[in-house]
Amino acid sequence: MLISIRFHGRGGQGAVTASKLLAQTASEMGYYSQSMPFFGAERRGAPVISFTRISDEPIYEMSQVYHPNIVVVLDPVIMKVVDVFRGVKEGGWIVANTTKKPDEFVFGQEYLNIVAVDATGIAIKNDLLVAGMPVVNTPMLGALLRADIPLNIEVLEGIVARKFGKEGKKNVKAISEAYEFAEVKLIHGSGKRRYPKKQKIKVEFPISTPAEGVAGKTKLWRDFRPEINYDKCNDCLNCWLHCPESAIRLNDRVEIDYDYCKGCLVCAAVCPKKAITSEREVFADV
Amino acid sequence: MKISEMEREEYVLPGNTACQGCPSTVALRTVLKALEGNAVLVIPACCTSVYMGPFPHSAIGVPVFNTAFASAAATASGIKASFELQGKDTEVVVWAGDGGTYDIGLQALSGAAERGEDILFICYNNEMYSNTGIQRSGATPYGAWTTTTWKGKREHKKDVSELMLSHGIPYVATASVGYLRDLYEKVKRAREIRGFRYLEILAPCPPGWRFPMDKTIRMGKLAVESGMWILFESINGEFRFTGVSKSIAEGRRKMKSLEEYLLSQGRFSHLKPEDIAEIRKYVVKKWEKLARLEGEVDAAIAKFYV
Amino acid sequence: MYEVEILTGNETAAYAAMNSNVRVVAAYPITPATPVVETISKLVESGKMLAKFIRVESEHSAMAACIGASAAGSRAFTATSSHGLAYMHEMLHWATNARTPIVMAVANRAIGPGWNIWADLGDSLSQRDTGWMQFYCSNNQEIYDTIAMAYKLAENRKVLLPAMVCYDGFVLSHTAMPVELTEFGDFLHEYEPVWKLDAEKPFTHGNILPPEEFAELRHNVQKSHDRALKLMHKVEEEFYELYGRRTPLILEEYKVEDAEKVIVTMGAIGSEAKVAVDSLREKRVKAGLVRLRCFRPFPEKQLKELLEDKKIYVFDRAISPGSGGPLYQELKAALASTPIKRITPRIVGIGGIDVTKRTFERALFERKIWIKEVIS
Repeated sequence: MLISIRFHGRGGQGAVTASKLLAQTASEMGYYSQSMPFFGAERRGAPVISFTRISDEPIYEMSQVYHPNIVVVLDPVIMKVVDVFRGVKEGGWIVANTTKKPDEFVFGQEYLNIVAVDATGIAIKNDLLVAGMPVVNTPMLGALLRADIPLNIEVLEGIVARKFGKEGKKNVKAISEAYEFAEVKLIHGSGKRRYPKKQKIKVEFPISTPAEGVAGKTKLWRDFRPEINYDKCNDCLNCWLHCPESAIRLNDRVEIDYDYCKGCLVCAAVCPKKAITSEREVFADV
Repeated sequence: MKISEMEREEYVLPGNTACQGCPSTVALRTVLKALEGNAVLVIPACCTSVYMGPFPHSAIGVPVFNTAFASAAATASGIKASFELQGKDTEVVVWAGDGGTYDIGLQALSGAAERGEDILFICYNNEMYSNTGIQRSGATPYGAWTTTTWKGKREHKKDVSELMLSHGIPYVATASVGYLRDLYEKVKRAREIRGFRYLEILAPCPPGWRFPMDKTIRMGKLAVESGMWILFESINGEFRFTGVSKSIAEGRRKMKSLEEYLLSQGRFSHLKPEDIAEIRKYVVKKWEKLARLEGEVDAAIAKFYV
Repeated sequence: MYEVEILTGNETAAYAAMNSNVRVVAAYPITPATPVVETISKLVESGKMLAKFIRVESEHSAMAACIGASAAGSRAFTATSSHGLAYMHEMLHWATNARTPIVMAVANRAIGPGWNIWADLGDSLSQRDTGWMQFYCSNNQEIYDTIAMAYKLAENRKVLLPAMVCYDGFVLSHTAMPVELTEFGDFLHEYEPVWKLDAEKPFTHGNILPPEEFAELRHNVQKSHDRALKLMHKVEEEFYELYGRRTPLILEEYKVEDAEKVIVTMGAIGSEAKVAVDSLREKRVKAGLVRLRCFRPFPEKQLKELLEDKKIYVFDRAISPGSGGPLYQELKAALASTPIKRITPRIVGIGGIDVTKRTFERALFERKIWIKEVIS
């Protein structure tokens, strides 16, 4: 038995912690386990991946997981930029933080089991917030245990209670709620897996050309969306001057480039007229 | 200078991999605007080496030469020598963090300053190694939490801007991302001077200092208003305080409390009153030292703290 | 004909840099390479050498400045030795991946402690994995010619690698002999880089390179070494046609064809070994010599062809502790697929022990691997 799990999250969301907690749970239940983060060059907010392997025999694989049995998606936005279904074995499991129903998932495998849970909602309800952001990694582990994995929720909860100190209780509650409310269903996919061919890049010299969006459309990092109230705006250009992202464009008036704005809200903080307000970002098309 | 008169071209392109609320991107953006893009950047290992993004693209719109951690000022010296031979007046700018300036980069910096290389060395100082994930540096202040000083650093920072003053170079200045227009103007003035120029920008880092990401600019101001960070400019040995620091030095403005600055950051949240008293002692000493450099200003500023 | 001067190896290196139209020099003094720096300083200050000389504060900075100058489009040069070379190590790697064709003179010297200023090839051989081409010389004219030829190769569009020109400290660096001061204007034109830093062309050099792209770059570095090896004969020929001197870049063979016992070595002791071969031949020992000139790229094929059926004695003036002589290791690996009767290691001349013709003669007939004394 070798179970491979791949976590998708964004920098700062705790995908690496989740993968470690899972490995610890397996270990305490007598399995061999391994938790392997992959570090790219990204900063907070960028997509990250992490892997866990669980086995009843010693684990010798030191490479990344390319054909997982289970994929855990910590952030619904990730699915827009990363093919989270890639390489998942037929009949495998997708554990997703989502408000969607399992039937709404579309993929290229014949069959996958979908575990859908609104972990963000559960985190908010249980006051699992760091700097205003919901922490979803622990509830997602709760939901993960609904997949085909021989781990016991009490062991996981014990570890979390022990490791998280005074935050332990809330996390444990979120874990059991996620376990309980997760919706599980076997879903039929298209059966047509298509992977785009990677283009071979010539690298004679380590030389790069300037471009916008080296990290893609960084709007997906945004948790808050600034809005300019042009009636209040006095065109002082302070928001433009102070934007760390160069995401405020100067046309006739200042305009926020919503493709790249990461939602730091420095613009709102420096606006002398309080003409920039913010609200939680919701990406309608995700 | 009015904001509307500033260069509009962007040289730090959006969609880069910097953290939200990054002080380095906004500082670099301002610096490159002031240079109107006529610059070659030499960048040793630091956050900028990462946030410019991976091959085959780059988020920086001027030529960049990445170099090894210890060697920024030396690499820039070589580039400048070549440009001079070719009769190019392109500004060669080192853009280094406090690691590449205060610590591992100090020898090359001091050497290039002493040789009087015609380069502009800019340190964006976030008072720690943030690229490797928040470790103490020679620029980390007393008491600050980092991942190599879990109980708070027990030593005061050294001050490289003072060290640069003692190198007798034609331009030394400090700035803060809290005052970008001041930064812009200082870069413009530095551009008019030939020889080795040193500019240090305080860069409050939200994940490293532990404050909300929309407060980057606010923190840059608070550092100056509380007297922790002192704005000055020394042109050919003529030292003067600038901006808010000048108002403080001349007694026209009262400093904000150190507590307000320190306790708004997670890295200082564990400080005890005696730690704050220790930091206050350091700050007072520093003000006195710099006030003596200016000469005409009475060291009365210290009264605010004593 | 050009002027012939009696010059030390170090002075020779300085003149070679001048006549190769080097435009930026950044260097830091270290025994025994210091006179290179002093001579260049004199040449620049007197206006004979049209170059900028950056008097850096360390070797690390010397190489950094050379890399900067080369990236900005200038032909760059430096010289160092021993600890200085070791201190440069990080930047040596940088120069390779940056594809900056810098040439550096290395006066080979041991690395301490204890302090030892004498000849030992361990300093440059321990930099063999940095991606630099490495040439070893055994007389001053060779130092002079090799520096120019190294630029020719290094700057070739198909190569673009940095190169070290190595010569034994004191043995060559401070020994004076006649050197013909050829001007290399016809052989080496002004450096024309494929790319260079230019405010008009905003590109970023050396940002993050993901694993597959990095492997691609490293593979290209390797392929460049292969191409350099193939170009060497062409460069030798061109040099010969212009200046009438045959200066081999890959290796020099001496009485190998009918030899039974072949000495393989490099550097100054490779010159002494010739005398040993003659002396052995007088004693009816069928000796021969392969003096390797180019250690990187390592001319595996050429060595295989020459040495296939010989009894080989490898003389290393360096040691890779825990393994053995670096040249011995490499040769053994190169000949692994051929039926070699025997390949015997010898470690000589460590820390500046003088190596005489008798050292070779004795080493061929004694079983000791290490010779730790002067055989006079």
